[in-house]
Amino acid sequence: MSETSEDEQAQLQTSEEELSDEEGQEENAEDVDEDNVDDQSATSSDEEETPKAEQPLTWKDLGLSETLCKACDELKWKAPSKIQKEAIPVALQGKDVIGLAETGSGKTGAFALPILHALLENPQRYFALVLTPTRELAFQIGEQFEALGSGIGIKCCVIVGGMDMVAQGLQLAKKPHIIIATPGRLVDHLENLKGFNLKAIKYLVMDEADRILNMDFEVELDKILKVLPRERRTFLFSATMTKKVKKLQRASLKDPVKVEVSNKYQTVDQLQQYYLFIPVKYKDVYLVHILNELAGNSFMIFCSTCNNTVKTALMLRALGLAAIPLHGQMSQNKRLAALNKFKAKNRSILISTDVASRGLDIPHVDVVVNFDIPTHSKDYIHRVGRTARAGRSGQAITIVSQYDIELYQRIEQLLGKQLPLYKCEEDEVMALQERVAEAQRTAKLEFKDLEDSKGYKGGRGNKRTAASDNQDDSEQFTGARKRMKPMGGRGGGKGAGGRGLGRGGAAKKNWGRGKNKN
Amino acid sequence: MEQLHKRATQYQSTVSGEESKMTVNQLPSVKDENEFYEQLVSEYRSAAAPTITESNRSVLLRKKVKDVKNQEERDPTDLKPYNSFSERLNFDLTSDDITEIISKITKVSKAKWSSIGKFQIEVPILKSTTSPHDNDYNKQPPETVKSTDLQIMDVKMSLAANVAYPLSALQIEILQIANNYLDLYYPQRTHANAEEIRYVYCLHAVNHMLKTRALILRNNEKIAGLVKYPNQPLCDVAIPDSLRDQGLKRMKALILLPFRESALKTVQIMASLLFPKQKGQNATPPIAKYDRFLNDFSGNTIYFPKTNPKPFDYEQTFSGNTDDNFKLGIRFTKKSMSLYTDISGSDILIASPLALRMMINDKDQDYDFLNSIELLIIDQAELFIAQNWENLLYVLDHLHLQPQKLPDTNCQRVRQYCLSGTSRFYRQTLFFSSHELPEFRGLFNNKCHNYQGKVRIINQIARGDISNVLTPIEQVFQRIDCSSVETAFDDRFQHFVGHILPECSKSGLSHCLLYVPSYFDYVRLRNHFKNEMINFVQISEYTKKEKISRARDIFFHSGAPFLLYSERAHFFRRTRIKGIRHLIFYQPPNFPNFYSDLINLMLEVNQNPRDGLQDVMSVKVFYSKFDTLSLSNIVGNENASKLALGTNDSYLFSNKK
Repeated sequence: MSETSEDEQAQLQTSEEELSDEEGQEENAEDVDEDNVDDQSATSSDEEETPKAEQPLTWKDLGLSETLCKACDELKWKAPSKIQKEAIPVALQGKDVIGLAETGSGKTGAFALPILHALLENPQRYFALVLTPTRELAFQIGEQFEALGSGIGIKCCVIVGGMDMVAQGLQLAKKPHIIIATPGRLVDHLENLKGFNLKAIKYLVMDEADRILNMDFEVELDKILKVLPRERRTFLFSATMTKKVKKLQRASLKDPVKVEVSNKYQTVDQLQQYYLFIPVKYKDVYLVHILNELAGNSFMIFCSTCNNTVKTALMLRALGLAAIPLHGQMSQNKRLAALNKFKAKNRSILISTDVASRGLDIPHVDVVVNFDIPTHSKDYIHRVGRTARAGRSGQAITIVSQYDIELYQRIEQLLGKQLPLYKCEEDEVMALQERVAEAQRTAKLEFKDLEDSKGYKGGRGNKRTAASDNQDDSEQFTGARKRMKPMGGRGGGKGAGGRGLGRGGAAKKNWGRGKNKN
Repeated sequence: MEQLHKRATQYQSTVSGEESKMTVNQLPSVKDENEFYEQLVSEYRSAAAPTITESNRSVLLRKKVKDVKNQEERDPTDLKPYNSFSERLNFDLTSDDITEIISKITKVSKAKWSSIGKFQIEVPILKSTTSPHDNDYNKQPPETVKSTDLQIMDVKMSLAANVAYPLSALQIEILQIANNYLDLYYPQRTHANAEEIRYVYCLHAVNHMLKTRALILRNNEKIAGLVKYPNQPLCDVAIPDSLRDQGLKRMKALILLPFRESALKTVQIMASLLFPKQKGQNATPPIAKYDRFLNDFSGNTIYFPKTNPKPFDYEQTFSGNTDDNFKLGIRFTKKSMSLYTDISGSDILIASPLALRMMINDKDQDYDFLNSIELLIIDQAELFIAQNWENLLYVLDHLHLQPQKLPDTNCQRVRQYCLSGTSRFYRQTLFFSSHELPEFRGLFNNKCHNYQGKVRIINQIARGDISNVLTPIEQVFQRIDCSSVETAFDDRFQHFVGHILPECSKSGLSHCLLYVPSYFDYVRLRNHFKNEMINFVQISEYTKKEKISRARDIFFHSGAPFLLYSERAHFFRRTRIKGIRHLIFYQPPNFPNFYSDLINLMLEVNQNPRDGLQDVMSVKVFYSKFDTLSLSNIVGNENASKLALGTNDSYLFSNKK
């Protein structure tokens, strides 16, 4: 997420242009497809107009089968949300749907219910495929499907990276009805699991579709789309949607209906948003101040890089705050564990990269702090969408440094409003300065140790087990070895194989240590 | 119901008709026969199919078969398996069932057959089925003399034709149990019935393999019929659940044997079952790499002296190639059987626990092949006690684990239970040993989870090995009080060191052989002896030949009052220790015949007339209440329970006149 592709940049700009002028957007239609999308959306909202006005709709009114209505009741979903009201009937008609709704508005239900409805009418294995950009989101959607389908014996299967490949293979072989997957691992299985194919898939869902259709998943998505049958329904859902027609075309929608609950990039009304303009060197102090001020709430703090999450977490821990990092370079089990600890309220502060910015439904998040400003303004929408979910209230504070002004202005533009300043007494904040500086120093040392012992390196892209408290010798060795490889011609490590590794690794590690001292 | 029944009888009659024709024509080539059989079977299946096709109705099917049986109490139908191959494997256990099996709530019934004697059937009570086959076991299985009888038992015709008739009553009874896919614990294997037993389990294993293969071939054809357009790759075909017929890995049966010699015999029996010897021909059976196999697995390892011969049972046990590190993959193909096949491509693995453990520990190789074992046969289990029991347990703990690599089999054809990781409930275990031991019981109770239940032979031991004692002597059994199994080792040691040893040294006991079954105890005692500076000599399985002779010599000539002697040393060498005046069993021996064996070493001939001890002789056995099983091997069941639970702490047996 941290890297910005050119394409994305370009898209960012165009979308902002489009947004700045609502009318212009409609006319801006470059393609027939685009036209269709907008036309349909108009008609669909017309259809919905009448019942909406009179009384709150029930699940049944949407045309869902009784078993599903019951399941909804059991989950205490009282009435359909806006997006559900609009998207479900269209989906039940058997049309492709593009769903746009603000964060926390029940998008998952909006695609899960029609799929389950269709599945009930026509039971079949390998019925639907849901693609999501992040692993955590995949698990969350999987839970929702399980919850909704528990009464009707739905079998779901979550296929994400970082987990045991064979166990997933076995699950897939059991022919689940619904597969929830991140693209990379799914492709892995398509290529390696004998006898597994997606020929029977009837429904394809892309959750956080703009992200999925993004460059990051290009290769994987192409492979998946190639093996999916053409006869299928496709749903795209997101809070922010790409306007790039090319991208949408890749999803090969057929006469899609665009269901838009709010056509502006809106955040929920219950969300209080602030910004805080401070010099970059006082970021940590202000963060600690905010945490102190709002103590007792649970926080999600977003940083731009994996390293930053770890550093910040260490710093906060040095100050005695229960912070836990979550980022893409942790092993999947640790990621889940971190998330679960936060969900279970064992830890009140979750510090994460944008890996947790989308879709995660943790109801009790009270405050979102944008410690580093999001590089994509749309990510802002997703980040602050972690709080104030499902009618609750929440706060979002964005820390803006002198270097972030331009990015921040883009966000304001996207939101279409100016945010109030977060008020705080400077004296009070500066009183913390000393203690924070102390904590920063300890954190820095600890971080260095971690980096040393694990060969943990920031923007490596390698899957490294990161900053957590367990000591694993093997990790140390391989880490040291890997780290040294590009540097020295001594890298005979490869040929030495497993046996020579202990010695070679240790020797190199020492060498590395020495270097660090200099 | 009526119709089904009729069809069944029709089928029987056609089979027997064909059979007679075939014997007249002399047997056609194996291939034809197989094809013929497959045809026949598929006809039969399709005849029975119209109403019952789906796997999840197998329960229904079973009920019907049972009803058919109830209607008609004819002899041959008694042979019909209660739960045939396909029904067994197609049955889906629900998660409720699995909790039931694990909680070991079973329905226990007892029965008695002429040859294997009394046995106990434990069947887990499953919610999803009606209580299975009541009282069916009370009836003695009838004699089998013809191949048609075996076919009714669901034995493949190609096999049934090759079986050496008549089968003995023991064989039929074991086959009956095996064929119903029940676990079997048979603790009465002797050197006399060893080959009979081997014959039966080979027959069962090969039969199981052939049935599996036939099913897969049949399904292959069905799947080929599902291809919608030419050149469609097979893995793209949507295969219905009813055609799930494979495990994650190919290997279906695992036979654990102690020595190469036993593997040799086993393979030879399999060969004879598949490829009957033509008259007048002495050619080797058409088995790939058979010569290499004979080379590797035959020969004699141990030389038996002609003068001073070793006991008969020793020669029986250790004849042939006694190497205990071997593994042999066997693959069955259409016409032939190949040996030394690649592990991942074998149907049966014959291995020693040691070799298998080494394979499991091999880092370069995965042990995924142990995932889908459907039939586990453990023969001569008592030898594993002498070899290394730990290895066997280790191997059993690595069965049915989730593979480390994705399987090569088409995942749409992998059986449901393999996918859900419940394959251990579908494994049948046949366990043969020469006597009962707590280790065996533990293994059978804790490592075997066949959902169809298990059969345990529960014959009473009337007299035990004590009746073989020839030396006229008083034998004292002394009980050591132990609170729990875990502390039994310590309690025994403390009692021995605290009470017995001082007594011995006080009374100046000499020529005393201390027999220690467990090597751990042996080491502990040895260290104690060393610490206490007690004069002793020792013989364990690790002692070198020269040292053994020296130790025997010193002991015989009163050089040291104590000889520390480990059970395995006796097992592997059967050294004749002379000059024993006092014999102390630290624990009852694991091998019951060693009891009489050792006491008989005290006969007058073996004594040193110059030791000046004349007739002062004693035998003492220390036991705790946890040794009941090994005690009953020695003194019989009745006495053993008296010894274990009686009010007195010591008991005296005497055969003095």
